[in-house]
Amino acid sequence: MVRIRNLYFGYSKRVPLFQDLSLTLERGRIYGLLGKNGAGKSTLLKNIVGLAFPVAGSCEVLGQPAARRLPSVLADLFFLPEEVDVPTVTAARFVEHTAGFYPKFDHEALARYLSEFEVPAHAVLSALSFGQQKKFVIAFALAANTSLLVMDEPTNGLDIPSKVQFRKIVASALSDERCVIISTHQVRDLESLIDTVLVLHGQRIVLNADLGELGERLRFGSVPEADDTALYAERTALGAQVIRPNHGGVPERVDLELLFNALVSEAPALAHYLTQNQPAHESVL
Amino acid sequence: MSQSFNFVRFGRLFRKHTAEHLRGYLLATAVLLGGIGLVLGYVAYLNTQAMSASAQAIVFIMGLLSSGAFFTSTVLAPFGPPRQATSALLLPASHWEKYLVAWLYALPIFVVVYTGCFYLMDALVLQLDDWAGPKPDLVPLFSGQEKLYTGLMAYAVLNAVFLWGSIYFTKQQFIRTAFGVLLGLVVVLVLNFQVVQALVGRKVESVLPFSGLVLREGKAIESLDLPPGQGAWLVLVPVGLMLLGWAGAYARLTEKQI
Repeated sequence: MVRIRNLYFGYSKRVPLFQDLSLTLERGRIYGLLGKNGAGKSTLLKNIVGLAFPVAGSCEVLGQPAARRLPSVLADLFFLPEEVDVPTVTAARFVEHTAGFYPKFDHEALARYLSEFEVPAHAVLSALSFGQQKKFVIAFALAANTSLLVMDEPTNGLDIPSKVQFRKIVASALSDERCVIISTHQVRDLESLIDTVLVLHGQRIVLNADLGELGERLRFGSVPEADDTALYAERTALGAQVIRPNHGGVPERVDLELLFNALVSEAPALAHYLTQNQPAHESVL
Repeated sequence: MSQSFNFVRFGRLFRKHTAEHLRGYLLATAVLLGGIGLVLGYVAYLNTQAMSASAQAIVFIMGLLSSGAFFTSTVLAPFGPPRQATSALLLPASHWEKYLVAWLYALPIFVVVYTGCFYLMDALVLQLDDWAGPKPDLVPLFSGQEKLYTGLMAYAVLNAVFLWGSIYFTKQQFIRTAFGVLLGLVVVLVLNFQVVQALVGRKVESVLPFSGLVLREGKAIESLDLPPGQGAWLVLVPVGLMLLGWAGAYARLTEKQI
């Protein structure tokens, strides 16, 4: 679906944002892209959808270079930016003139999503609040039924009930043919949604792993005092939160926030452990 | 389905563009009608005689160039600001189709609408003008006397330059392009003067790019012109500039990044 090889990119030649970044994304998965502010999450997504061009290396989507922005590729790809732009027309008119560009567009699904999000179909889009506009575009993006759906900070600007609806709707819209990438810095918004986590840090992808496999290999918990078995420990008011090897084999719930903190602080023990026992999927550290 | 051009996809894109900009375009047409009416009315009011064909022609050409340059600056402007550009660039149509929709609106459609507006207001003003003599004729669009069609050709060149400016600049496209054009003209004129003076080795009185020059020798003034046969080649300069502007705008669109 998405194949990035040895990507070099930077807005300035002296300050590269990515160096030798490689990444493969497959159908049937919901990827959560995590990274600190300024790590380049949005820029990576722009490279994937063809809004930014690699300085070196390649970025292919559906077998074509993303930078060519071929109509056949764009018709099977939808990008939801963090800040959406809507024209001064009603939602119904926008759908009438735009849905035709997406061959697999599902009008019934759109009506259902709009109803769940409580977005009026006949309102002028530019007159809606930012949150309502965003919900409309999310509904349209999901109804477009494209094989690749890329969302940059989709929950920004949504109220709490809408975030819950968002997770529910995205989960229901996933199929074996679709690949969804969601970038966020609000880790908790993704916890019950994604099945694969990508962590972007230090100009490259430092983790690309299935959450189920991570849960089988790592244990997350709180302890009064961290001991030597901890791969990573983070002090809290009541003791410490730790990541330890999961020797029992019983799948554990992955604490994404703790895992993310461990990866961006470059915990050597965790890095060594994950590198030693790479899961079959594609884990990089 | 072709990845470069497809009639169904192009038609869909054209309809989408029209639907999303119709209200703005209708308002702009109303402003254009009002503007032309005001200028023609003012000229007719100041004239003690019937408005001449040449006065009508000047208003036609000046209005076409100024309003056309302004309108052209807007047609590729949605590819400027990141929020708008994201949806515009990722809409499933080819770069060529997106470019062609903008070009059609900026050149043929604009010229037709402008010409219609001008003749409508011109006919109205000439009709309402209380000049005691016989009603003057409307200036003909294609005649050897007023040569209004030269204004259309000049507009095609200006359109190419401002079309390029509308995609090259991400904001204030009209002002920045106009400033760039003026600055470019000054630089070309000054450099051309200096280079010609250095080549000739004498004091040059005046010289314009791609034309003859005037030399001063004491009190005597000499004029040096291109051979008559070569003068006709000068028409290639605006044509080349026009093609360069259109090609540059298209290339810029294909290379556009956010």
